[in-house]
Amino acid sequence: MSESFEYLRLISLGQYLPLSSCIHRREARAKVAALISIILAVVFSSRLSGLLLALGAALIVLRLAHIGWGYALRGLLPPLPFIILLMGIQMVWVSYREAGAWEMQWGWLRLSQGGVIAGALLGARFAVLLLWLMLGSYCISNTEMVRALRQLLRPLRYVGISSRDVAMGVQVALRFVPYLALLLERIAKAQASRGAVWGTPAGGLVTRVRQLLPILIPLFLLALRKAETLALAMEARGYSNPIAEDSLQLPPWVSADRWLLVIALGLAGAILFL
Amino acid sequence: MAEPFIRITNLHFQYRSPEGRVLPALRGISLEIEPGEYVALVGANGSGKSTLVRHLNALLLPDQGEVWVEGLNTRDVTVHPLIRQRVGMVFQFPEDQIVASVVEDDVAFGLENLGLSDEEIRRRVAEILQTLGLWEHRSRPPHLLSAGQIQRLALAGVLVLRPRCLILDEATTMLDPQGRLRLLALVESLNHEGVTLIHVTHHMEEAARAKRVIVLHQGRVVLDGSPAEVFADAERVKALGLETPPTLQLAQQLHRIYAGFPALALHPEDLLAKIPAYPGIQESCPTLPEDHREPSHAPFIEVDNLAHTYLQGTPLAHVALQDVHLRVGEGEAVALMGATGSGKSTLLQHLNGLLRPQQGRVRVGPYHLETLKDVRPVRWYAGLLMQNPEMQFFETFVGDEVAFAPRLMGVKDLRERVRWALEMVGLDFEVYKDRLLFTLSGGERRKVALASILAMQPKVLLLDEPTAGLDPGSRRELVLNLQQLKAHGTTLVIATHHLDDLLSMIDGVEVLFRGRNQMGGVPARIFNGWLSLEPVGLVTPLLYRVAQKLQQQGWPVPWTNEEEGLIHAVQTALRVGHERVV
Repeated sequence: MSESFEYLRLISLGQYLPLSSCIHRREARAKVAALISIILAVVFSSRLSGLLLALGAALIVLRLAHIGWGYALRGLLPPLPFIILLMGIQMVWVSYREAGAWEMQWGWLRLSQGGVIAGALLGARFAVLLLWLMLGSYCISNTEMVRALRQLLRPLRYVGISSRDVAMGVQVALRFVPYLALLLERIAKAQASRGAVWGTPAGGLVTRVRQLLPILIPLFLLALRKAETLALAMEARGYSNPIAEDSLQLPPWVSADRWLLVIALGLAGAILFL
Repeated sequence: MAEPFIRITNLHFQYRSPEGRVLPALRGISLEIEPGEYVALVGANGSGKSTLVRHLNALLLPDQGEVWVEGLNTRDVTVHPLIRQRVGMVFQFPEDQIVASVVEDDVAFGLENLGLSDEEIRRRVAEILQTLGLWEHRSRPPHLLSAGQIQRLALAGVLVLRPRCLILDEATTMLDPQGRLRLLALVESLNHEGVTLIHVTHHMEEAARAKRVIVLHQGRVVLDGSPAEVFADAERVKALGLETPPTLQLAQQLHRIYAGFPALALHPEDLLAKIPAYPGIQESCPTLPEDHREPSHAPFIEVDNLAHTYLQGTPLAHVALQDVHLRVGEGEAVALMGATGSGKSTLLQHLNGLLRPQQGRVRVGPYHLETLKDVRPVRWYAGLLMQNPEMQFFETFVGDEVAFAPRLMGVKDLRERVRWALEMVGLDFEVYKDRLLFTLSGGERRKVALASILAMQPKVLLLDEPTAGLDPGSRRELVLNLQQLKAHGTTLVIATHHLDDLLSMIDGVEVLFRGRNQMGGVPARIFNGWLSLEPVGLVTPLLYRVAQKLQQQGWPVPWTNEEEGLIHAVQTALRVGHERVV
């Protein structure tokens, strides 16, 4: 029985790694803008070669940021079943609609070259996308992200939306991710120490869901209570102060920041049109 | 006359339950607090302390009555930013107060809200992080800090705003004794510089450090005065669910049998400084206590070379235990002590199989954890009461919560078992079984949590900070419960910062420091003043400090871990000395 309560281990997404690398040191807006441009390019690229380029670039950036490949790739494991499921659906779906150089049919199931390529592209796109998102969360701290968003979303004030509130919402949501994992760990341990079984794959879907229910309810209650205290603590530290709205000051850009953005934009272009 | 810093007039406040029931929390409070005062606010769980202090920085607004802070009425929403800048507040659970995902960013949060310049923010953040010893952790994510560090971080986020009044709402709960003393020394030095300090606490020896103590009971101020005045009537204080400071209790008992002892000593230092010389003839120097805790032939719990690393194989890996040993005999009670983050909880969680040994051996009774396939029998055999267990309830009704484990175990007469468990902790089965968990008081919840572990009828009871966060009354009752269990033959392993409460039942102490064994033995050996406790985060229990001082003053008293024992020894010494002189 290999029970593990380290849920924190499973969420490498949303986990900032406070390292000091040439990537981490870049200015927040440069990092966020670079990340967004590359992610958009990955979403809209139509060729496998572009995705492979994005994958290679992600691996290089990981190295530059002093993050082990193994650690990052492990983060892809939890969503892997979903990706494979989506790939399968896409393959079959496209195979029914488009023919290709070859076709295979077993009973009702049909696969064609077009379908297989479409499925592979979809899977690769998801994997690369997730990898870049994780990379972003490793290298951009929540506060950096929030500051950058506050700046980048400033034009929203013309339609009456405070970029600070939007950014704060993002920040708190991000902070709650590892926190919920820790809470989950505590509740699961409390139940396990009274004999509830955890982590064993025994039992069908229904059993598993039934196992999960008693943990979700206290998790939600606790999360709500924590959210309430957090709101109080933020109020107590003057969050609703109107002066703060326009006081944002950011460090100046250095040439490395500009280079980062230029390289990222170039890379995004290459991913799109390669 | 100058305006007081805080003026409260006839403050009423009530909470409304979702069903529309009205729960009065404050019923007509009038108070004035002068600038620079040091106030301790005490009262049993649920007496309205937190509700009251939340009115002082406009987090709550009165239903009736007024609250003025430096002449600003909290009803005026436009002055809230000013009030909150002047009145800083640190809450009980520090981790709930952290906004950002990096330490230094979190400290900067309040300053950004003030709209300060970037340079100023950076300077003040650096300054406060250095003052509070968090500088080397400035770029770490807060959820990976130790309890003491995260508490200091919460404090830093408030102090960096340079408030004129600081409110600590049970903010020392999660700290080890040294951490508490350091935190108190820090905020008291701020108080000397003129910061008004309001400290909400369950620890009377902490309350006694203040210049003024205010006692709340069911939403009303029932006592208000200097510590000496408030604690003068021990019976009254006890009836309010509190206690007089342990130092005062001991001093009064000693004074009763020999007038040379001070009658009024609120702080350990006061009592120790005034312990008189032995009036009889000194016979011989008391000897250092031997380690009576003979290694039993077959220890009941055996831990050897245990090592554990959290998040192994990730960049966040953290070594929690290294080469740890532990021996506990059957029916013994052993305290695990050490600073926060020293590995106590991790060790406890190995003893019931929540964590499996990554290295080394763990045996609990007949179970060898390193090879065991199914750990459920161990979890029933060695019941674990986790820290703040009332945060982990998963049922709605008391009866169901207690029945959870025995139901899984397939106990035949579930009802009887639940009845037995509830009665073990002194709760009436018929009254409590259908009560909603969230309507219970703090002390009752802790009892239900304990009952839900006892319902498994474990041979070993593992307790992680069982008395933390309880008011003195509930703490007394819990300790009585544990003493009963020990008398029934249950083996106890207790991770605790507060040995004073448990001292009389403890057979052995194991001190951990940074995940390693630091020292171990009978309590008297650990605390006899020969070993340096400060680096490991501990404070010698009052009883031992007094015994040691008595010995130094020539009193022939032995080391004892019971108050009656010490009193008796002093009485005997007086009688013997008197006979000799005569």
